[in-house]
Amino acid sequence: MSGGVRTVLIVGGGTAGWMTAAALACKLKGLPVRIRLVESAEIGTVGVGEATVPHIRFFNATLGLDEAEFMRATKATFKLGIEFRNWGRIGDSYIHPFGSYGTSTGGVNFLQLWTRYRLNGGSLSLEEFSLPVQASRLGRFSRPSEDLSSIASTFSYAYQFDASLYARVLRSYAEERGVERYEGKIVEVQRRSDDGWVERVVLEDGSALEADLFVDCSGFRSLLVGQTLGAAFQSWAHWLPCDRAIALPCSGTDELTPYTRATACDAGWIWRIPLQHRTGNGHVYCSAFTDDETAERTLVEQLDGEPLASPNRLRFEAGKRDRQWVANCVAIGLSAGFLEPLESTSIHLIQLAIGRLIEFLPLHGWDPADAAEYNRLMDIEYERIRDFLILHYCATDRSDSPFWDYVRTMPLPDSLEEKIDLFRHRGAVSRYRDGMFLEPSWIAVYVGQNILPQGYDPRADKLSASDLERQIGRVAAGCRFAAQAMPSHWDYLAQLGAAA
Amino acid sequence: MSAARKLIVIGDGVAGALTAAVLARALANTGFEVHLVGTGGEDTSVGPSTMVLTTRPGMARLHRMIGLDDERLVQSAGASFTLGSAWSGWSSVRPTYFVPFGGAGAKLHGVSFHQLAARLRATGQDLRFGDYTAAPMMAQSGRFALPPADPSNPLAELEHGLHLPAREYRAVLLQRATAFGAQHSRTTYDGVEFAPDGSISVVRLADGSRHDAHLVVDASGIERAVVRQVEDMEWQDWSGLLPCNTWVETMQATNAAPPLYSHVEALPTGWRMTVPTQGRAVQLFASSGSADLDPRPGSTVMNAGRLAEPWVGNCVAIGAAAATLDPVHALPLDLVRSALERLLRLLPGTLPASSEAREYNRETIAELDRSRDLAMVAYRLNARSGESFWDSRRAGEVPEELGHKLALYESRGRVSLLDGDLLDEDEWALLFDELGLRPRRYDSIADAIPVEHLQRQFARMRELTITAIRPLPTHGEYLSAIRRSAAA
Ligand SMILES: Cc1cc2nc3c(=O)[nH]c(=O)nc-3n(C[C@H](O)[C@H](O)[C@H](O)COP(=O)(O)OP(=O)(O)OC[C@H]3O[C@@H](n4cnc5c(N)ncnc54)[C@H](O)[C@@H]3O)c2cc1C
Repeated sequence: MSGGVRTVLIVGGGTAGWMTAAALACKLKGLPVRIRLVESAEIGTVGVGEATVPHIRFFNATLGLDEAEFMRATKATFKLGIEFRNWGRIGDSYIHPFGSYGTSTGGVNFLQLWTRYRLNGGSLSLEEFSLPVQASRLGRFSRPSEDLSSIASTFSYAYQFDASLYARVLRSYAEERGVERYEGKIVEVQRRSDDGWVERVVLEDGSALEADLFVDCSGFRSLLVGQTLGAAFQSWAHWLPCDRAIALPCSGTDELTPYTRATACDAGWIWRIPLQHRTGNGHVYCSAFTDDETAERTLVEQLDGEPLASPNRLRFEAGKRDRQWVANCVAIGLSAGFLEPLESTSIHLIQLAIGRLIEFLPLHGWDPADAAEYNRLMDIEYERIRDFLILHYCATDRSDSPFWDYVRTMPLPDSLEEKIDLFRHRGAVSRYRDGMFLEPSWIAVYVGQNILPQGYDPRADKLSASDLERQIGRVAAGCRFAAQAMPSHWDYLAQLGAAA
Repeated sequence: MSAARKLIVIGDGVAGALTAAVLARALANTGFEVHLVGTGGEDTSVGPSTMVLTTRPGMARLHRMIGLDDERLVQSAGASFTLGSAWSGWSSVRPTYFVPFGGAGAKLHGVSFHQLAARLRATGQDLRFGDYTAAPMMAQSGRFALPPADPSNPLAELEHGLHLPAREYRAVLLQRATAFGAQHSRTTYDGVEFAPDGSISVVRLADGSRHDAHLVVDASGIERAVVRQVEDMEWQDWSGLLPCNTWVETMQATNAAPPLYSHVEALPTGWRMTVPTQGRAVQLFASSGSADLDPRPGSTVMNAGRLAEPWVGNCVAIGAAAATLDPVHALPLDLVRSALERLLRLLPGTLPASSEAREYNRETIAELDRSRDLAMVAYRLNARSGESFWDSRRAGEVPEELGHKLALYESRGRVSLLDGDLLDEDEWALLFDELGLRPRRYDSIADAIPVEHLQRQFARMRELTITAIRPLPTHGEYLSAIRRSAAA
């Protein structure tokens, strides 16, 4: 064990870099640690990444950001979930909400009651029992109630925001708290001769920045952990074959949807993310099954506003570094791995990595146990999300293009195969300790993509048929009623003082 | 609806009676029948403890489901309250220590108590987790009351279990089971017959009757009455990891009020656990008998291990039939609880149930293996030297997961929580600490809190807890009051 960390250098000033800087500045307040960040205007950031998951609220709350102020500054909107169009079949639409379905009775999950109802000819879809779905369909929003007995407490929410504005907010937050920022392109990484740990990075102008700990937020390049220290990239492209994207913002529409949309196409899918001042759009596709011009045309055809910029083209590969913490370098953000933005998980993974880094920060000396546990925990998160994303592709009846033929028939990870089997058999969701997507999320995608339970928990037979009918009716009416009572998304933003 | 589907529970000891009560309650009016059949042997259904059993805090939920609560069990089953266990003769740091249910202290600014304690220790201050934790303080004072509803009360989070005389507890459970419609057979188990696909088709009873089985639960304890007949049931032996295999129990009557804890004392070739309850105390002696010696008279021989797969076809083993675990941490009954909650979630309406079995086995095996790791900890970290039984426990291999857990804790006081872990981070940390494991480093974030502030908070925590305990009745008074309220 050698001396502990006194200096941290964050390499990169994208979303990952500034989130890390802000969180460290907040959490290490009062500790003798110098935090610096270097970024290169010449290289720039990926400049996409606008949809989030509810966990971001805890991140902001920890920093002490005021919600309305943050939303104004980032032109943010509220997000209740993601609408998936054309995934299970062309013409299908379902919403994966941030919330659960119905309420469980006597230890029996509502899904079980619904399954019994459905197998006996009931026609109401599962969506009818989700308040956030109903609100989304109506374009309404209101924050959840704190009264846990109220149906209005059964959901959560996230934001859709301009990521570069968010980085700006975090940058001023971090700089106000002592983070020193350097501008310049790193041209060389120098390592200690004895153990190969990174000692300093050299910028184009010849100046050098030293640190005890380096956080590699350099994006896809993975400058330190990948390129310098050689952590291998573990590719998941055989399960998640999309490898390109074109991003193209357009002018917004009058109606502001409180959700993100993901529309499946011939060889990928298109996102639509409504912000206050514009709509973010992008086409994620697989270059083996379509070409760039076709992909761009497909995207442009779907825009519901005037393009506001020229198309931004990106290339990537699904997968992660086999070790995200190597020696004295920790990769966070795109340098650690990439999972396509289908479920808006990247910023969440950044947040999670930062939380873990803080927990395992070696301020009191280095020990390989830190990296070992950090890597174990991050691997689990990436793998669980990976399985969840694959589900969106494999659970399909689509056979209208070679892309869909491929993903429909590809071999699956065993872990996923078993999960699907259990759900199809009796509507049960496998339980694990870690992993961000909980039971309601799995249910949303299974059912939304037509993997319907063939059996159910026998305890669901307890209710008499008429009681079941009544309970089903009551829950659906409750959701409908509560959704209708909410203000429109715009009105709520204005009320809150969150409109820019 | 077609003929009732029969859930047949073999073994009418505590594990079987609990299973029958829970299944009958959960499945009333759903077209199932629950049958409970004894095997005639001694009740080893939970494990080596056969005279008195210990519940951990999670049991209250399952008890509530079948209409039982603490008061009722105090009144009708002779239960007493327990806050954990006192240990002597194991640790290097101190001759006795206390492992409560629940963790130590409270978080401050998002930093765990044990990390804060490590920071204070680094300044030279010597402190015991137990001095800032309600359960050991109460256990020592002998005062007890169920936790108050007011969340700001320092005792609000107090966790407790029960010491339950097994025979009386079983009688209460049988009464519950039959009240919920389970049929308790007057005759005993004879055998099973298999369908061509390997599943159990018929359960035969000693009176010659035959019952078509939907699902069979083997709760017959170490006899494994059903499991032994099922072909693919393999056994994983843990005797290299958990040495004790010879168990002797004795009971003494006493008039003294029962302590609020059990006591586990290390002996030169094993240990002795004293579990008090109303009017009596039971001692369980654990030792490692060698194969070529005849076991002591009156002893039970039970090697540690588990079934490779607790659920095969339509047969689910529960309790000691599924796994025999060293009871040093009072885990065996809690494992029955957890298995039952899982079985309820995955109980198949139709057969075959291979999807359910696979998930059940995955979760259960993780839980059994992690419980085994937990049971190993006290042996592994023992500080008795010059005794070959104990010296050899410190050496040798540990399962990879436990090795990782120990290494990470020693490194920085963090606990690597895995699928199947029954304890949370605070509980593990407290156990490790009491056993004398001291992390080399602590959570750096704790340094952001000024030492004086921490000291003040700790002193305050202790003061408030003492003040909250002082007016409570003694355990004996509390038990009497509960008994009187039944009579009234
Ligand atoms: C098509 C697409 C859509 C996405 N949509 C979402 C979404 O909806 N939701 C979500 O959560 N996530 C989304 N993501 C992911 C999200 O964009 C990223 O996780 C996020 O932007 C973080 O990126 P980063 O900070 O790791 O890397 P980057 O933004 O690439 O930043 C890298 C930084 O490193 C610096 N740098 C690199 N090399 C050097 C060098 N040699 N010297 C100095 N500085 C250097 C750069 O200047 C830059 O500051 C999406 C990603 C893609 C590709």
